[in-house]
Amino acid sequence: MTQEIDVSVVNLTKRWGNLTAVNNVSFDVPKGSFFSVLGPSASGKTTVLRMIAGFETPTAGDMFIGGQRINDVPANKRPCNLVFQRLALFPMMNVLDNVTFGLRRRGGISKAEMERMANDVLARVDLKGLNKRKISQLSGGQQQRVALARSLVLDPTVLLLDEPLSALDLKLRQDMKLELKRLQARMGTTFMYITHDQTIALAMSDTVAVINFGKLEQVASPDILYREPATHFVASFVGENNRLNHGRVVKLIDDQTCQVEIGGLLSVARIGEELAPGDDIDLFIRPEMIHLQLGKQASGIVGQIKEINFDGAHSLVVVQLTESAIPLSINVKFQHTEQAPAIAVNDTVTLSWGRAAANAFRHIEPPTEGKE
Amino acid sequence: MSAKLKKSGRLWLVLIPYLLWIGVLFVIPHIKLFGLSFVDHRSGELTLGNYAKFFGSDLYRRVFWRTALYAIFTTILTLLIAFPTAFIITKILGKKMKAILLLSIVLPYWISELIRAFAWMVLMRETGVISYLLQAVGITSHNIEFLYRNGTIVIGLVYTSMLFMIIPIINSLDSLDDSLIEAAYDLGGNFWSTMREVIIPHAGPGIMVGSTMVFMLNLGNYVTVTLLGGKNSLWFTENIYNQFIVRFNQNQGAAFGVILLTFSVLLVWITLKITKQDMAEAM
Amino acid sequence: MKRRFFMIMMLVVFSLALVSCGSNEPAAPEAAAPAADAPAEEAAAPEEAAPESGGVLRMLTWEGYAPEELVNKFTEETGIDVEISYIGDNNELIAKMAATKGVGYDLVSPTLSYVATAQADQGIYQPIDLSKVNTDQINESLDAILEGSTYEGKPYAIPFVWGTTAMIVNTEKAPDAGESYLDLCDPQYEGRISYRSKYDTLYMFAYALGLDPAEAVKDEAAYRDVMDQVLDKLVECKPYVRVYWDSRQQIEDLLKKEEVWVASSWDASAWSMSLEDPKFKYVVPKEGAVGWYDTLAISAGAENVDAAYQWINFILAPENAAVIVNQTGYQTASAGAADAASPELAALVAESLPPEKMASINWYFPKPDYATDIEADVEEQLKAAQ
Repeated sequence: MTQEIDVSVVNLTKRWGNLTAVNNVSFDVPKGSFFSVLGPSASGKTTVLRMIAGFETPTAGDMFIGGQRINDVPANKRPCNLVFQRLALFPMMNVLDNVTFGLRRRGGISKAEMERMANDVLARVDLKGLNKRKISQLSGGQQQRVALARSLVLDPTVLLLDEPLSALDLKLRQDMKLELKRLQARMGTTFMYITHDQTIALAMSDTVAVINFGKLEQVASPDILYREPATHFVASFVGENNRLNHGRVVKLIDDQTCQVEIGGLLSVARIGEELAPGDDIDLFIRPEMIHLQLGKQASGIVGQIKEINFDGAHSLVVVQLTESAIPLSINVKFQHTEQAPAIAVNDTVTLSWGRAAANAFRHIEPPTEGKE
Repeated sequence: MSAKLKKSGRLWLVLIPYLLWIGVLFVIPHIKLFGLSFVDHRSGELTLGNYAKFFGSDLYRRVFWRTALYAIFTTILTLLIAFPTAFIITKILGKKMKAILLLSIVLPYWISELIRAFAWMVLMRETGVISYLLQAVGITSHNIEFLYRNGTIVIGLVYTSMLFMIIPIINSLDSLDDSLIEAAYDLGGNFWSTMREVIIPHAGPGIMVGSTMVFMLNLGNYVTVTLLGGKNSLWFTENIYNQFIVRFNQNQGAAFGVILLTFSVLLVWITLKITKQDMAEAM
Repeated sequence: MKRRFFMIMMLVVFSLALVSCGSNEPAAPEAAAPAADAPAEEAAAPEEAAPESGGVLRMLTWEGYAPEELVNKFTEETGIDVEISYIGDNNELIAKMAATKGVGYDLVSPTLSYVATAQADQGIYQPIDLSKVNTDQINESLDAILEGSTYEGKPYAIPFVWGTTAMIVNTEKAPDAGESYLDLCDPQYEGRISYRSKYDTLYMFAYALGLDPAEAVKDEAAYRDVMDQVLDKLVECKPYVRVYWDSRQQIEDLLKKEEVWVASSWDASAWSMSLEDPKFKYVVPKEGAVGWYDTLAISAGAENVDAAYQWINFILAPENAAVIVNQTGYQTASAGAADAASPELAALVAESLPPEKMASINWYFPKPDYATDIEADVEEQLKAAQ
């Protein structure tokens, strides 16, 4: 089945002098989907968005919206709208005038019709009866909705969102996150969401594109991204992970699984990228997928509890691996279920995990101090 | 801290310098001026004659309106030049160019207005630089006098007061988030609609402050107008100066001063009303 | 509590305001103090004992009337420091003096025609004590000046420096100009003419029109009539005028650049131009030059009267007056100063002002204050005329 594609980016590149902000990026955004571009700050994600919106000119590559090449279409004629990071609402206008700003630019729409359209979209974002309010009189969440309404009223092929939730406080951000997803599902508009916050990206998106240093690392559903990271960076960036440096591939078990050795301990791991026996690797182990048993067990890796950080539903347990040749410790997310054993600091425990919990990638030097 | 001050009544202590400043330098001289304007120069009796003299004299009314219209016209012209300049400086140029341009705008104001007027004279006189250049490139074959025309007064005034228009506008444009302009474009706006609906309304207070200052400066100008205007340059401030210095009629001079002040305050007030701005907000 | 504080504040503000206004009135208690504080303040004694030596002389005068060279010499000889403020206009002088009734200045240099009238109106001078003046070194103008400055039987001024106003002509560009002041209205010099829009020009045109402003000024209506005729003529001539000049520097510059060929000019300015380039000539037309006589007068509020007399005697000594003649080109009332002047300048003076031209000088006349108003009206209307 071929999906209809709303936004397509092909070999997109942006350079400023020697600096390559976006490096040969290609991806497709399916129609009606919630598509996120996830990356740390200065990874180039905002530049990608600004090129699509029309505020930056690509050095190379092509961009398509709804099949039409838009490289040469000016920003104010592109069938996409942008919700800005700081919202960029017009403080000199009231809510209604903000929302009808784009409609007024189109011409040929009567004032009554404009107001009807604005009321309609304001109702959809739960902002009724505030038409005459000044922007400064609205709460952060309400401003967010005005910004959405202002773009949605124009019925864009794709709505671009530049981390608009980052300005909100945590609680409001959680609420808006869910609301945004519901709104997207209800309206069926394609959303392209830029963020550095993986929890938002994973929770809301149908598809996530991870970008780092201007290069696309992986485009996948949140689920795949989490379980089967395609690159060392994705493994370390998406979700919590234990990272154990300088392991070695002992042998390949099948085309997806290998056995690795680290500090004299052995583990199975998923092969993240092409590996050969003897390769120097880093091992990523999901803390919530580690099984913890009290005492020294027949199989598994023995360690001693150093810290227990209680967090309601579960605790983060720091375990020192006692049989390792080099000092190693692993964080374990320990579920306080009814069957779970009582644990205490200094208890001896045995840890075990399956192939799905561990991912092996060729070793990369961790970033040095002061460099993000 | 401030609440505590307020409570103890000691807030007044903090306000002393301000009260002194406004009182000694502004309120009291103006009260005195106002009082003087109702006194007869010779008899010392109370009279409206000083005002009657103004309204009864074709000459003074004509010079007054000429001065007012020129001040308004040059203010508008200054705004028309200053706004795009300020826009380019704040929104288009890079940091380095911005600093250089700002400096080049401020620098001429380090020398006195008199010297700057002389500089214009050197440029525009018959045997001046512009005339010379025009001949050098063959546009004209003889000397051309650019001085002593009404247009020269306008050029001089625009130049003299440009800084006071540009700085407040730069200030207000600086506070305009660039993303607002981008948002307007993104929503389908073009250059003019973005200007009209977003940029100018935002810069409104700066435009108002700049225009008020420039208008007042133009209205009260003396040096530039007399030096560049030549034989037809009569400006209302010259009439005021004549009353005080030549005729020793400080009462008539005071009445002229009050008329000029009233007019400019009224005009500023009306402009604020028309543009729906608040004086406190604009300042 | 709050209210009382407010009242005190208002008092402070108002008293400060009063002080600031009051500074226009006697403002130099340092010098005036000795009499009041004498018993307690011994430090004040020396000043009283020897008032002739030391102290400060404060002058209000024209640029060039107190050259640095002479000021230094004076301080050396007498131990008196000199502080000078400059004026550009007789009205400015009177305005400054009237503001304080003369306090703040000891010696001033008003033009003769302004002395008696200003004394009558403002009382800003004190009578001259001739016994303190070395009259031997003053030329024959002394009596006329004393008489001209007399108010209620007392003279108020000593003659100092005089000069004339007539025309300067660029003889290469306008060889025929200078016969009459009406040449300043000759269409053939259109755009090459310049003069001041001030009283001296009004007098020139009045004489050129055959009117006698010195006589007419005694009656307000007559003077207005004369000045109205002058105004009509000046408005008629306005199209031919390049610019009404304001300063000596400005007119000399216009002449040197040949943007102006025919102009009104002060004699000293014209002679200095001639010395540089003989094509410029100071010409006294048939109506006669307009003459002014600047004097030395003592302020009613003078704090150092003796120093003022010392300066009068010093500056009119021939060797000192000659310095002024050579530096400025003005003539002085010092007998014998002309002999000490440079021969080149003396030759120019003799050529421009031979005895018959000297005899035809129209001296500035004393003006009642309505005359000032009438002249100001003419100036304003002339400038506003399109």
